[in-house]
Amino acid sequence: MTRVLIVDDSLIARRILEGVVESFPDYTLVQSLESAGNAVVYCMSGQVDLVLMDVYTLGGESGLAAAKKIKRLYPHIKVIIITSMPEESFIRQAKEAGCESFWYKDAGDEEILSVMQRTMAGESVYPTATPVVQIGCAQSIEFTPKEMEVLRLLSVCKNYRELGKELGISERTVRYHLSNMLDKTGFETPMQLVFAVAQEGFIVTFRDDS
Amino acid sequence: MTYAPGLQLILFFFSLGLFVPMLVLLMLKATRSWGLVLKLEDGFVFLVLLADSFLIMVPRVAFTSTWAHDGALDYFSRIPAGVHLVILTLISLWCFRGFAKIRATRCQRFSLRSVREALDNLPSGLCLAHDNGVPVFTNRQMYKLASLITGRFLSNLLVFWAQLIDKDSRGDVIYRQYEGQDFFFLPDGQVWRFLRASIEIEGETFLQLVAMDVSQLWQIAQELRQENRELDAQHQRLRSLLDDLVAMSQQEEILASKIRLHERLGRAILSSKQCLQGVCAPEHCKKLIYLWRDLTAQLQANVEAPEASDVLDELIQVASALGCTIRFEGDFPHDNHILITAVREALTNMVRHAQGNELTVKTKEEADQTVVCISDNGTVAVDHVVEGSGLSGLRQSVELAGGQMDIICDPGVALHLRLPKLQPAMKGVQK
Repeated sequence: MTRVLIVDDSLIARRILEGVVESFPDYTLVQSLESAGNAVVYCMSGQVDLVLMDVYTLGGESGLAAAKKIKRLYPHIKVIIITSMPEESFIRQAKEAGCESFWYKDAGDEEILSVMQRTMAGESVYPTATPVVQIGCAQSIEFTPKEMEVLRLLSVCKNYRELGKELGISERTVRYHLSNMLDKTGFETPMQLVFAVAQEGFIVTFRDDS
Repeated sequence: MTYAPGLQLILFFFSLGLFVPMLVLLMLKATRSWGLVLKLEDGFVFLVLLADSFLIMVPRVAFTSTWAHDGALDYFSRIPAGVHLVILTLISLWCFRGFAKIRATRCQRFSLRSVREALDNLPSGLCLAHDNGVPVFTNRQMYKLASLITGRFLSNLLVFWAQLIDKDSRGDVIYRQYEGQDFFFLPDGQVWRFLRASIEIEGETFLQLVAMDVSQLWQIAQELRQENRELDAQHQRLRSLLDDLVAMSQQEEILASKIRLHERLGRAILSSKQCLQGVCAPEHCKKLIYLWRDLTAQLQANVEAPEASDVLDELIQVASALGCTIRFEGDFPHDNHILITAVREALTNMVRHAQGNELTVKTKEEADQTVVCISDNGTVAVDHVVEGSGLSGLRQSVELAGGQMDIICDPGVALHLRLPKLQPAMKGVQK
């Protein structure tokens, strides 16, 4: 019997996942929480085998950061990251955190139950790519890795000087990348671009990012 | 040819008169005074003057001596007066040039008087005194400031400074210290910065007080501080807007889930109708049962999102699930993420290491900060704590927020935190 902990701040998403877990006899729901930080504490109980962790949880807490802690403190617990946000770095971060699997709520080809079963069988189930979203006139796959880095730091309201310092590039180069992105997307100002990517969930910032 | 005795006399005295400045100049040049140097041309000019003087005297001598009939003397006396005049004029111009150089050099040289004059004209105030406060030098600006601020004459530097910092002695002038520097704010808007120092000159200690007018700089600094505050506020507003956008995206996600549910329900109804009409295969009908079971479970959920949950309330439930209780004394701020993290850390450490089951969180509100003390009823005595990643991460967050964290081991472990009170825009996002 696999003991499942669900972590998602959306009531509907939790109910759906609870329904999936309870509908199959191989799984039992031990707890359903909204905060990723509290989930790490709950894992101390020793009653968890599998965690279904949302990326963005109550209070802006990062499910990825919590998953990393869980994998470090309790390596036997398997973690499946769940999200509907097409944030481009989530898959990489989940792998770096040591999570066994990753599931897109809306764009996944597989149902969550199948992912759970394959994960408990020892497989690592990851999507091949992040979903493509429309940002203005451009698609998300049109951004280069460096442009993504610039956009991510801009989303936490860093100014160009701080941005350049953090990325090891000049302020002029920052403006160059920004100009390219504005050309691609058709936006007039960097703020319009930042709001568009935040609205699409393409770049998500957490409490401790700024 | 001879010329009039009167003219001859004038020329004679002119040439004689030139000897004095000529000799003075030659002497100064010979002694290298005033930066002057003796050159060959100086000797040449002197010889020319000598010769010309002699030639001027020749006609007079010719009249009064027995050499009257000497051919050479007779020849010299024929030199026109104008020639003598030109030569003497040139020599006098040469002398004039020499003295002009001396004057120019003199103007560029330092003297005690020129130093005093320069210091008196400084826009800053300056006072140098012996270590007992008796002034050695006080410039005009410092006297003026002393009179303006204290209404008294500056007779002793130590007494003056005591008067400056004494509220009663300085009237409407405000005294403030910023970053270890002394500033005085005059009623007319001027801002003066005073610098005190002790200097040693030739083995003797002197006190130095310098006053600088920083009114303009202060004004600019104030404007910059105000702009920075406005920028910070804008930054916070932008952060809030971005957080709201993310929250809106999640609401869209919920709406999308409802739409999907609705579509699945529609398909289920259509498929069920076909099944009932006997159009579908039996395997399909079997799958339909599972679909309806799934849909029923989802529809039983409360699809209207309730009031946003509280991270702290959930933590209390988690503690209960772990067999622990969290007791609160005082008004613990539910929206302070750092303090909630501290309670989590304390709970984790209590369960893992202290073998306790009750956490006590005492909160005290002070004027500009919140003081929280978290302790447990653990039975394990500890005299030293090595901070792991959780505690060190917490400490970093506390210090970044301008607070202070102490870990007390007496004998159990207690966390003491002091945090500045949060501004509304900086509070944690609540869903």
